[in-house]
Amino acid sequence: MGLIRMSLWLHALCLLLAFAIASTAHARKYDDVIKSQFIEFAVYRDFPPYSFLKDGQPAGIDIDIGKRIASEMGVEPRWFWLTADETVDDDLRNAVWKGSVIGRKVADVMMRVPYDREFSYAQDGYGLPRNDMVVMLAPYHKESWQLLRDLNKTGKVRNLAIFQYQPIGVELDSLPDFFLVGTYQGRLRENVHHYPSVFAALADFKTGKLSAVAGMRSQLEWGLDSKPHNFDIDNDGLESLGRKSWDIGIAIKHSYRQLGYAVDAVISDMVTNGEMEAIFSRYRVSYERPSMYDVES
Amino acid sequence: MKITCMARSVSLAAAVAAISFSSLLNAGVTDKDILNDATTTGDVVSYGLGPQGQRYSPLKIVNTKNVKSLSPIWSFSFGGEKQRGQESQPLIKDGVMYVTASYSRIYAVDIASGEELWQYDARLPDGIMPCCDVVNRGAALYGDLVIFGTLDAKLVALDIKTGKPVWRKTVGDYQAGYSMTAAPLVVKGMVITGVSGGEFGIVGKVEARDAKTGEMIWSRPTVEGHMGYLRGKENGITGGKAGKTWPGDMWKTGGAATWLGGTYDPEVDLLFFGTGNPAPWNSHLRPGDNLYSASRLAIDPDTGKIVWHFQTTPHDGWDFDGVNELVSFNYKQGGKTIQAAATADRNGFFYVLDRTNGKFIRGLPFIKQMTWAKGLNKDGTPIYDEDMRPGNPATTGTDGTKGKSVFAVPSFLGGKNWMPMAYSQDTGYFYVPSNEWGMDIWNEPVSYKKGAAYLGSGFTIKPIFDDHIGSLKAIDPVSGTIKWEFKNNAPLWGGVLATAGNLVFMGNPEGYLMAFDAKTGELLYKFNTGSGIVSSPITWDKDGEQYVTIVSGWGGAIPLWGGEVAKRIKNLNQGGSVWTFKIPKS
Repeated sequence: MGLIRMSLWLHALCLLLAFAIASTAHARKYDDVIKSQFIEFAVYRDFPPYSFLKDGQPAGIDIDIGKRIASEMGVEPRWFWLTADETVDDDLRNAVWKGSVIGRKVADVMMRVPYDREFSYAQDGYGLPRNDMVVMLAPYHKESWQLLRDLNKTGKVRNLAIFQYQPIGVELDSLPDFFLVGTYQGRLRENVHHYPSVFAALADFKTGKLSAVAGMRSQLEWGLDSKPHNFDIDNDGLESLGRKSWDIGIAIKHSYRQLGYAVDAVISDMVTNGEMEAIFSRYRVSYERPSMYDVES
Repeated sequence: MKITCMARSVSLAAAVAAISFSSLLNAGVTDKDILNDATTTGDVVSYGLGPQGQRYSPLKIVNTKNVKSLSPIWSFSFGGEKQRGQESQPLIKDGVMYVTASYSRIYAVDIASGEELWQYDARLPDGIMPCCDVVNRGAALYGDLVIFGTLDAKLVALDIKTGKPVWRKTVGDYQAGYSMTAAPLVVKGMVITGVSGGEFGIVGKVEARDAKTGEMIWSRPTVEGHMGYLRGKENGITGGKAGKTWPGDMWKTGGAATWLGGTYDPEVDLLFFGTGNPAPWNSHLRPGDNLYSASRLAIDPDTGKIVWHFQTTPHDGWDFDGVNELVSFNYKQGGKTIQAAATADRNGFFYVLDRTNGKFIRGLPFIKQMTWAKGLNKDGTPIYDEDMRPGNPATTGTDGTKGKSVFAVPSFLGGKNWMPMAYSQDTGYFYVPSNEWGMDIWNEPVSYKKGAAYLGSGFTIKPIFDDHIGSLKAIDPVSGTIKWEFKNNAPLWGGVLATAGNLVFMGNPEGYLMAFDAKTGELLYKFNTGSGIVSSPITWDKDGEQYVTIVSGWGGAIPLWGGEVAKRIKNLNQGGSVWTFKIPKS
């Protein structure tokens, strides 16, 4: 199966090289991106503070990074608004290598893709690679699960035991949702309140209906317009969560590595020269460098 | 977002033909026509060949003696670049066939010539995420309207003569995950629908609208705790109140989608709808029965109130999603007529219920080597094998290992999936299209969702036998025994039709329309339609001749899965066409 697929790919590649087909509907190679004077980024729809519409205009951390990459490459940025599917594996198929079953279009680069060796090389139950049609590279951020507490309510208790007595909000079907509902033999279950988004939970937190919210650090920080001294964000209590933090980078179709390297070069400069942190701070979000840079410094 | 839809151009000749047909029409399809559909052999005006869904025709012009000379008389192509799974059951009225196709398309075809009269393509928004291919299972007829559901969860009523939209209603927000693939049901002038969207965060519902205008009459959520409505007024909370069988606030997003539509029995005047899996899929997170997931609901068509329920898999932990159709039938026992109904569940059990009150009469496993349950209790509840329940995510460690893996039979694709069974009034057997497969299932920690670390589920589907997955079984609902079995290499994914000609028709993914001896299961006839069949056949008569029609076009959920199942289907080609057969005049 894998071999058949690979040989088909080689065949397709040969055709591409022979005829230098340029298509705007498909992920493209570096030369075609430069020649066309635009680059298309897949970004999640309605997903602040990373990518969203503000007064009808694209805004957010991932949008600003995309703009910077495009300007460095001398092309115009375009946006492919992606509706999140069940998992990132599905999103990679829909946005990078195959296109959705309806539109059949893909983007050149997808933003906010995990940079995780285990995930890149993950196999399905048959031992076949799950994501072999894309390359994940250019880490630019480290995201983490954190707990936002109202210290006036939770007091000095830093572990989860307090949520046997106090309400905590989560985004439906997120890792903190499963964790909090399942942990302590289900003793927190009755106090876990589910919301369609972390921002809906934050709205109830601000009015005092919740004592805490578990979510991604960037979203918690962005969702609080102000941070009174009794609001506290950290990861106390989440020690045994399956994955506490993870790196975020980009994905491209596996046959367009040259484009990936060009984007990687821009991102790498942005991380090291402080531009990346500046973009995050525009959205009141703390910036944490991806682990790759820990080794270098 | 405003969705605009348009019918493709209609040729003048076709328009004229349509008008000449219309002059033959009287008042269009009536409630009486629908209630009598099972006995009026000249038309097929409802999904299931009658609202009870027996899929039985009293026709016997084609029978075991002459079926071998059955021959195609025309084939109609859906055309375009859009193929994929064709799961539709066509309808026939006044010389015209109404047939839906993949990507929410519908066609009117002249049954004499196979010529297109009109075509309507719903314009689908880019952002829809159909979970299991872009299928549609059929339309409903009422008055001068043909009504069908679209992948963006709209209900559309078209003029049967022109294919132009008359009304259009939103059943759910596609951006919230709702969709529609089932054929609507028409009862007492109301079009009655469920809704698709098996994944996280939605709540199933059954709704009744005025078939002529699309105006809402009642709405009944299928999860405990949600308010129902009748003509805009509150009409009682489903299950009485929230939190009886769900922990915390999880009833708010409990699932139980009604994605397969329903049936209706005029004798007891009840609607029967199946409900899908509870959410989230991992059962350790939601202790309790999780009503009314994985259930059959009997609903009063006049008020939208639940009269009784029967839950096949309380606290479903295998994603069985037991939404299957409930088919009404009567049988005699000790001189008494029993008003029964049967359902063949995704979980692998066949159930016979008293359809007046939902009480369990008997049941049996219809697939082999079932692992998740050891049998049924006297009340029809499963005797679980708790070792076969997929693992608790709380015990999936931080070390990145996948946690406990169990091999569950049947797989979550089901002992029987969506494909409708048939009931023969002659043999008294149900003909159940089933599949023999299991799954390894585990919690998958190497997983991400929308830019965030996640705990997904991993599974691999495996055949139980070397020589077949598909299995068409004749089940005697009175003795609770399996009378015969036909084994098919690829999984079966299409519906069944039984006739008084002692025949059972069905198609297979290998592309064959097949006819079996209803008593013995002997394969008497097969014809290859050029692409896989995953649809439900119909039959009707005209001028003394009997016709059989089936839609061909490989797709549906099976091609979405890889591994050992994929090996059996890798050479099957996509397509999209309607085939009509009869016995040639000698």
